[in-house]
Amino acid sequence: MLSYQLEMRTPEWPSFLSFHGNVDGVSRAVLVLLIALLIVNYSTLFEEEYTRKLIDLYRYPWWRVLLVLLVISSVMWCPRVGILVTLVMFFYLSDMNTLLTPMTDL
Amino acid sequence: MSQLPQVVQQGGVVDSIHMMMSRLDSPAMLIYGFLLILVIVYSPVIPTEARVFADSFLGRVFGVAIVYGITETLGWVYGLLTALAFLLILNGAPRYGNPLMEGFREEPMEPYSKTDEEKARGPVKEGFTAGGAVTAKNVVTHNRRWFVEEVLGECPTAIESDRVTTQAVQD
Repeated sequence: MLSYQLEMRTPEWPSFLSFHGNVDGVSRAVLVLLIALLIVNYSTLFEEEYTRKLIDLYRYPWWRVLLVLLVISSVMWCPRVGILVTLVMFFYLSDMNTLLTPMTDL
Repeated sequence: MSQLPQVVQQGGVVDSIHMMMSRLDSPAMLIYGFLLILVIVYSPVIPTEARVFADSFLGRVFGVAIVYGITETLGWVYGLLTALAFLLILNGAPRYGNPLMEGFREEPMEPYSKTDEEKARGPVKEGFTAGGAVTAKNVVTHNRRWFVEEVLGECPTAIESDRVTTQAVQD
């Protein structure tokens, strides 16, 4: 009974929203916040340009392999971070693919 | 002659390798993951026919079913990668209903119509290589054609570049 009352007094976040207070949890939360801000920035501002380096690097397959490995590693580290990183990667890869596609093929 | 006790090496890199090997997925799953990486990395060179099929009703149904099946069987990490690969294939599919499929319309927009000379000349090929510089903001939405476009029989639907860089005259 006492433990039940204690549980009622200290409600916890849902598991998918909870971040532990250690360095790992804080870094996950910070990354989620930063990536969310990045997505909002690129999705709300019209004609938001990618940096020149990102555009130039897209042509190299090893760069795209590194991006996929980044997705895999982030997914294995933290599902929340991984999903957001995957979303960013999809936007980047699809935008670059569209950018390099001749207009007649669009 | 006494036999030496068999010593099993422990610690160091060996434990890490054993741990990594024990946690690795099955070879079939690893091969599937490697193929997914290839599809994602080389998505720009996927043939248009495959993209058109993926963009059809049947292809989309298959795609969603495959993503769901992979997520249920191999786990959500593989499902996420499968979804990423499928969306990249789908995203590059040509849209046949898009009027930007050609750089110029074969028929001018109303109220203009082709002259007999233009009809005899045949369809006009696009006069520019887009090179990805054309975006949705460059689409020509008005019906008025420039004089040079009327003379050349062009009906542009998009503008490659609307910016001109000039420099001061120097000796």
